Amino acid sequence: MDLATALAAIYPPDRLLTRTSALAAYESDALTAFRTRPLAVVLAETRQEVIDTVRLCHAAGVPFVARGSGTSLSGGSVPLDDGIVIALNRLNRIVRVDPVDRIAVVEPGVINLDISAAAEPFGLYYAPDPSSQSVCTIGGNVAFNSGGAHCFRHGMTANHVLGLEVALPDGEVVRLGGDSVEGVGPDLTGLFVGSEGLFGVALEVTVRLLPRPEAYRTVLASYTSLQAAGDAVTRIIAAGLLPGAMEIMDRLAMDAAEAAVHAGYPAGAAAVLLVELEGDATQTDAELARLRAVLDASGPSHVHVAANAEERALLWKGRKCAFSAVGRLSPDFIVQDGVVPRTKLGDALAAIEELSRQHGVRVANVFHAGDGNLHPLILYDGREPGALARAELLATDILRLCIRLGGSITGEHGVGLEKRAFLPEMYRPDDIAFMQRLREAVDGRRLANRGKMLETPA
Amino acid sequence: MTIAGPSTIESLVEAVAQSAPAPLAIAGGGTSRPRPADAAHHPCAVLDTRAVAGITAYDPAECVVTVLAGTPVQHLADALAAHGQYLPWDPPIAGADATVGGMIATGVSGPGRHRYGGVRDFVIGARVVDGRGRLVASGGQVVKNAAGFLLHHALVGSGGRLGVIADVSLKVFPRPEATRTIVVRGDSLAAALEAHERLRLANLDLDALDLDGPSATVSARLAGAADALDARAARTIAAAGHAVETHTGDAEAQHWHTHSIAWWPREGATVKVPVTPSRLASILAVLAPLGPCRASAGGAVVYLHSAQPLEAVGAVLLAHHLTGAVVRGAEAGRRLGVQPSPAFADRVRATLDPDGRFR
Ligand SMILES: Cc1cc2nc3c(=O)[nH]c(=O)nc-3n(C[C@H](O)[C@H](O)[C@H](O)COP(=O)(O)OP(=O)(O)OC[C@H]3O[C@@H](n4cnc5c(N)ncnc54)[C@H](O)[C@@H]3O)c2cc1C
Ligand SMILES: Cc1cc2nc3c(=O)[nH]c(=O)nc-3n(C[C@H](O)[C@H](O)[C@H](O)COP(=O)(O)OP(=O)(O)OC[C@H]3O[C@@H](n4cnc5c(N)ncnc54)[C@H](O)[C@@H]3O)c2cc1C
Repeated sequence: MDLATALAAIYPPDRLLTRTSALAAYESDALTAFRTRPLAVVLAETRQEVIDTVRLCHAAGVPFVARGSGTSLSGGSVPLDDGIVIALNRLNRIVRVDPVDRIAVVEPGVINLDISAAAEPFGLYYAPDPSSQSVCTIGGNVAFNSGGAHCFRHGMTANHVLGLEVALPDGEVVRLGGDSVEGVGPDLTGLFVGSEGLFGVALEVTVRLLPRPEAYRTVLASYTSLQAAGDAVTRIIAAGLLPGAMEIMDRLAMDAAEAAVHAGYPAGAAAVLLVELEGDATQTDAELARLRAVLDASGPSHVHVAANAEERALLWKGRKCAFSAVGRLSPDFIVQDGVVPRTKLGDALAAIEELSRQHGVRVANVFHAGDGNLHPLILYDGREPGALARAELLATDILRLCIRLGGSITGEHGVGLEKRAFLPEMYRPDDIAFMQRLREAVDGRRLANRGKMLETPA
Repeated sequence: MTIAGPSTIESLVEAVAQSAPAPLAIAGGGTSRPRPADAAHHPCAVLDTRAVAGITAYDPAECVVTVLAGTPVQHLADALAAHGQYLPWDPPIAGADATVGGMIATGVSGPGRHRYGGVRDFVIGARVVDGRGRLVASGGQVVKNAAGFLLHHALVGSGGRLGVIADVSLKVFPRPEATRTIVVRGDSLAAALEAHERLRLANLDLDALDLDGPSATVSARLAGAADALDARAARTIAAAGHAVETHTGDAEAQHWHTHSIAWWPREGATVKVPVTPSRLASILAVLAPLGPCRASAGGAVVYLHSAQPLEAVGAVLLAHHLTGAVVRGAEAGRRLGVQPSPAFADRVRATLDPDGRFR
C-alpha cells in the first residue's frame, strides 16, 4: 500500500489535503522568503492519528514537518517537496488545568494565550509570552524554546515545560519528565525543548502555571540616545533589582507603534525603556522607589509611571505591536533575532547604526534588553531592484556581530532554514558533529523536519 | 585506580581519551557518591575532577558566571556574594568539598528553588567530554539562546553517566537585600500540612517553603527589600494561622541549617522523590514508615532518609506510581520506583557514551 492510500485510510478527505489550491496555505511560514509545496498536508485531530502518520512516514521513508500556526520567523515550518505536513492546529484540547498543583496539560495545537485564559479563573497564568502569543501554538513554542519579554527573570519555554509526551521520529511514543517542577535523572524534557522538530512530534505538553503577580509597576523612561537607554539597564541590574521585563525601542520603532496604537510614547525621544516590576505589592512599591532613583540618575529626558492598569496595558500594546506597526514604515522588512551579552548592548547598537549607514538600509530596533536579545527590523522595498539583497547582507552582518560579541545567532526564533549556515560559525566543528550524531541516533533516517537547523551532510 | 587529577580542560580530555574504552567513574567532591576507600582495588578507574577548578569568566553586570566543574560550590557562592549575587536555586553547600560538576550531575537545588526555579533553570551552557574523549559545547554565555540542541539541559541530573562535565555557564541573580523566616511548629503532621498548604496558596511570593516531617515544622522564607519585610511577614503570619517563631540573621541561617537534610546520617540512603503538592500528605503517609521525610520547594519534592534495603524503598515508590533516585549514599544515582521510558534516553546516552564507559 503506498503512503497516499495509507493516509487516506486514516484521514477523511477534508483532512487530507493534496490539491495545489489547498496546499498553498502551507507552503511557507512567517518568513515568506522560503516557499515549498509539500506532497500532502494532514490535519490531525487525535494523538493516535499523529502517531500513525509518523509511523507510516517512517516505514515509507518520507520526511515530515510538524506544523502549529506557521508563525516561525526562521523557516522552521516550511515543508519539503517530497514530504508531508502534519498540521496540529486541531489537536488543541486543554486536557486539564490543575489549580492546586498549578500545572496545565495541553495538546500541542493549543494557542499559547489560551493556556493563560484557561488558568485565569484560578489566578494563574502561563509565563512565556512571545509577541505572537495570540496565534502561536505551544508545540511551536516547545520546538523553538520560545521566549518573550520576561526571560531574564522567568526563563524561556524550557523553564516552564515539566513533561512531554513525544512521538519519536520512528513513531515510538515516550514520556519525558512529569508533573513536578523537580525531577530525577537527566533533564530530557529540557533537551527536547528547542530541538526544532528534529526529535519528533510533541503530542502532549505539561506546563507549570504561575500565580498572577499581586502587583505590577510599569515605568517608561525616555532618552536622547540609545546608548543611554542601554546603560540604564546595566544600572538597574547593578542596583540589585530584578524586573519582570525590560524592553527598549528606538525612535523608528516607537514612532511606528505610536502611530498604530497611540500608546503615549514621548515624541522626539531617541529611545524608550519600558521596565516592569512585579510581585507582592509592598515589595514592588519598595522596588519602585529604588528604580526611580536609579532611573533619575541615568540621565533620562522623561520618566513616567503607569498610573493604572489601562495605562500599563497601553504601554505594552505599543511594544507588542511594534513588529506589525513597522509595516507602516516600509512595504517589507526582515525581523532579525540575535543576542549579545547585556553589557555589550550599547556597543552592538552603535555598530548596527554604523552598518545601517554603510549599507544605506534603515533599521528599527526593538529588543528584550534584560537579556540582550536584539530584534533589529531591517526595512526594504521589495519592488526596488537589489533592495532585498542589501537587506539580507545587513541581516547577515548583524548576526556576525552577535557572534563576535560573544552572543548567539538566535535568542528565540530558532535556526530553522534561515540560519543553518551560521550555526557552524557559532560552534566548533566538533560541536556540530555531535549535534549531527545525536540527530542520527534519534532519527537514523533523518525524516523529522529534515533540512532544518542542521545542514544535511553530503 | 584513580586517574590523577587533570587540572585543565585539555588534560581532562586527554585523560578520558587515553583511558578509553575502559570503564570510568567520575568523581567530584564525593559528598553524594563516596569515592571508593580503596581506589587501587576498585573495579573501575575513578576520574577525580577536583583539580579542574576555578572561575573562568564572571562579569557581575552580566549576571553570568562560567566555572570549571571541579570548583567547590562554596568557592563559587563566596565569589558571587562578594558582588552581591547568589545562586537563586540555593544549592545546599553540602560540605566544603561538593563541586559544581557534582551539583549539575546530581541536579541538586535547595529550598530557594521555590521562587525562581531549580538548577535546570539556570544552566545556560556547558562543555562536556564524551566517552571517546571529545569535547562538546552547547549553549553559551548569554541568558537567552535558541541555537542548536540544548545538551546542557540534559547534563542536569545526568549522574556522571553522559560524560565528564568540564565547565558550565550559569545565570545568577542579585542577592535579595534581606530575608526573614517564619516557622510554624505544628502539633501534628496534619496541622503542619494544613499550614503548609495555606502558606503555599496565599500568593505571598515566598522564597522558600519547606516541611520537616518528624518535627512537624513548616519553614517559610521571605526575601526582598528590607523595608517591605514587616508588612510581608505580617501577612505571612496571618496566612499561617498558627503561633509562629520569626527568625532573622544568624539564627535564621542556623534554623535552615539544622532543618536541612545535612544532619541525616551518612549510613543508609537519602532518596529524592519528585511529587506534586496535591499528593504531599498521602505520599508522606506512605513514606513515613521507611524513614524520616522532608518536603521542599512548596511540596514539589520529598527527601527520604532510609536505612531499609533500596529494593523495599523502590517497591513502595512503584506501588504509588512514584519515581525517585538515591542522592546520597553508596548507591547514589540509582533510580527507584517507576522507571522512565528508555527509548529517548538510550539514544542520547549511546551518542555521548557509545562504549558504555561511564559508571
Ligand atoms: C509577529 C510575530 C511575533 C513573534 N514574536 C515572538 C517572540 O516574541 N518570541 C518568540 O520566541 N517568537 C516569536 N515569534 C516567532 C514564532 O511565533 C514562534 O517561533 C512560535 O513558537 C511558533 O509557533 P507556531 O505554532 O506558529 O509554530 P510553527 O511556525 O508552525 O512551527 C515552528 C517549528 O516548530 C515545529 N513544531 C510545531 N509544532 C510541533 C510539535 N507539536 N512538535 C514538534 N515540533 C513542532 C515546526 O516543525 C517548526 O519547526 C513571532 C512571530 C511573529 C510572526
Ligand atoms: C550535607 C549534604 C546535604 C545535601 N543536600 C542535598 C539536597 O538537599 N538535595 C539533593 O538532591 N542532594 C543533596 N545532597 C547530595 C548532593 O547532591 C551532593 O552531595 C553534591 O551536590 C554532590 O557534589 P559532589 O561534588 O560531592 O559529587 P560526587 O559525590 O563526587 O558525585 C556525585 C555524582 O555526580 C557525578 N559527577 C561529579 N562530578 C562530575 C562531573 N564533573 N561531570 C560529570 N559527572 C560528575 C558523579 O559521577 C556522581 O554520579 C546533600 C549532600 C550532603 C553531604
